[in-house]
Amino acid sequence: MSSERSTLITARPPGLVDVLDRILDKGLVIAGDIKVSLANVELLTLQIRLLVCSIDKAEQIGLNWWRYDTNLTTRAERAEAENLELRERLAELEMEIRKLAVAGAAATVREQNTVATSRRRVRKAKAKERIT
Amino acid sequence: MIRMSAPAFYVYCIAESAAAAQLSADSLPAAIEDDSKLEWVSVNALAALVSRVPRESYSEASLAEHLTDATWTAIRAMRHETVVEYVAKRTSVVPLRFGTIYLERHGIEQMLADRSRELEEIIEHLRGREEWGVNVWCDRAVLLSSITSVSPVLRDLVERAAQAPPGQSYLMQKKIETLKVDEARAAVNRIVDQIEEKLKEQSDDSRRLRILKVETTEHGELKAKFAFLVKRAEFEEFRDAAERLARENQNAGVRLELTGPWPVYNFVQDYHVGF
Repeated sequence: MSSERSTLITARPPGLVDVLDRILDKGLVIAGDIKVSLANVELLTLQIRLLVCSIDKAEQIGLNWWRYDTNLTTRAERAEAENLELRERLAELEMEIRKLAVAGAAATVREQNTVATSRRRVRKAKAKERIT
Repeated sequence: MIRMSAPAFYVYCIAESAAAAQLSADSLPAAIEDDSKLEWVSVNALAALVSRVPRESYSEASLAEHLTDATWTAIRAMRHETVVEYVAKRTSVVPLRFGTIYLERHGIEQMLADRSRELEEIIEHLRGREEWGVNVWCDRAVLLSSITSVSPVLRDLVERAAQAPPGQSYLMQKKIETLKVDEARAAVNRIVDQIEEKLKEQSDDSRRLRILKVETTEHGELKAKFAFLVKRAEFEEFRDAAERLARENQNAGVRLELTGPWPVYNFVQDYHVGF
């Protein structure tokens, strides 16, 4: 028995159309107190299909299963690749900033030291002058 | 809890009380409406999973109006599905169709009591089983290009057309194109029937589902949709059979897609409880 999945068969989280086909059309019918007319399920499903064609809209209404829909993985993959690239660039930039910060700090310290030393020299010189 | 003058109760599914008691209310997914929690309504051995909904928006008139709003319906459909799926992963469950609503808690209790025998029978029948969806796609271009090698009649005609004088060859070419389309259609039907037959052998029950008019994607055109009732313990064999079929028919441009496991929506159809 193979435990590895064939690439031809994709067990994916359910797409909305498959969900609607089931819960609007199938499932046990129990007559409750309210009559629900689902006569035009096909039309409704098509309408929703059109609605979720806009990915922004789908995300907005919280249907994030969409990301896992194989029909759209190319888009998701592209986004992931872009994400990775941006992360790398961000890491590079952060490193660059850190380097600059370290160099800057060192430079400041050096500068301060120089100033301090020169001040000391000046003071010493002045002191010598006073003595002589 | 929703603060409202009079709530109604939305019913998602029915399970056994013993199993329901193991599923603590805190771990259950979100209810169909915000600010409302899932709760079990239990009578003897059976329990219905319900949540309170505002009676105003779930009356016959407002429901009819809401259902024309694709966004409203899409959100509720996904929530209904998430709830039932959560329970189905953990115990044998009877999934209800969208929009089963009771005005009083008492009505649900009455229904559970009145129909206990049928409901228990369904639960028993479904125990340890899941629904798997199989979608069959066909890439027409791949199928048409491979059909000549599959069909002896076509192969013979192509060979003769190559040797015939230009005028006759042209006519034969036209005939070949027509024949290709016919042969391709016959081939797809044959393959779909074969898939259905083989997977039926690996399952307890099957349904052929309807196809919406526009279902074309990068995999080609959707040719058939099936639902199979599969014992959880025998899923490996079912999947292996599906993979074999996928490999065998790959050259004909046919692609299989397996979806699931689903709550057994397609196998509770024949029961009508409460009429």
